[in-house]
Amino acid sequence: MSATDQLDELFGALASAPRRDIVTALTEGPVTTPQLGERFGFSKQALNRHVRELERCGLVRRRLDGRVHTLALEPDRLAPLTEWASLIATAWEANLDRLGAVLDEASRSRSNPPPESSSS
Amino acid sequence: MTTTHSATFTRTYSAPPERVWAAWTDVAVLARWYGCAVDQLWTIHTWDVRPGGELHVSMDFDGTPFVVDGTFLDVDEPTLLRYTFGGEQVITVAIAAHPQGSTVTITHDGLPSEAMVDTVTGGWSNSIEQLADAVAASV
Repeated sequence: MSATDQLDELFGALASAPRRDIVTALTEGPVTTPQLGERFGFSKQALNRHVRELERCGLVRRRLDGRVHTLALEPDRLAPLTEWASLIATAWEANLDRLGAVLDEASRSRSNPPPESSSS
Repeated sequence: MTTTHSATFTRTYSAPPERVWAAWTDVAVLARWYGCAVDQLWTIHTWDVRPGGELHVSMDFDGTPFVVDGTFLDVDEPTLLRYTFGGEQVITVAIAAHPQGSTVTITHDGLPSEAMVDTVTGGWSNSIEQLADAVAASV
């Protein structure tokens, strides 16, 4: 799967407030499905649907202990998302650095013209 | 509905707003600094700075051209430039006069990131806050 596909899948899975709530809850540690259902007032069906979506992109892992389903977060799976986000930040920092250099250069050549232009 | 995230970056330059504006709107100057990474600049194909004007830029991504299209939404010389940049992303460039020259604030909206990303990783929003602190400390 390409990095772009991975991102699409992650963004898709997280483009839902209930699923973000589930992921946020799981950052505190593994939780059983009845606990989650109670905490957020999800029906069993709704909870299952959201969990399946999160499992599909690998963000959440489900473990069966007898009849109890325990959900745990796989935080490493978020890496493509955070990498992508930090690329944006890095790109803007680099842009603003380069813009500064271009502006400095232009003001230097205005106040102190380089030899080739002043010799003419 | 997709919740989106925005990131803000601020810098102060010694050049007056008019010159910063020119660096954003004169393609010959823009092409010298506007990029998508630390070491890669966009090739500017179209940069029609007027409301409704189009923009087309591209870069070479390992031999495959990666093209971004957008439209200028707001153009108010020399203080405000707002354009869409590929899909839902909107970039706002605010240029304000500053005793030293000008302050440039970039707001990158429509990033498909979520508040939970901050919760889980602490990474992105922290780095933006650190950046803001570093900028504040260096000004």
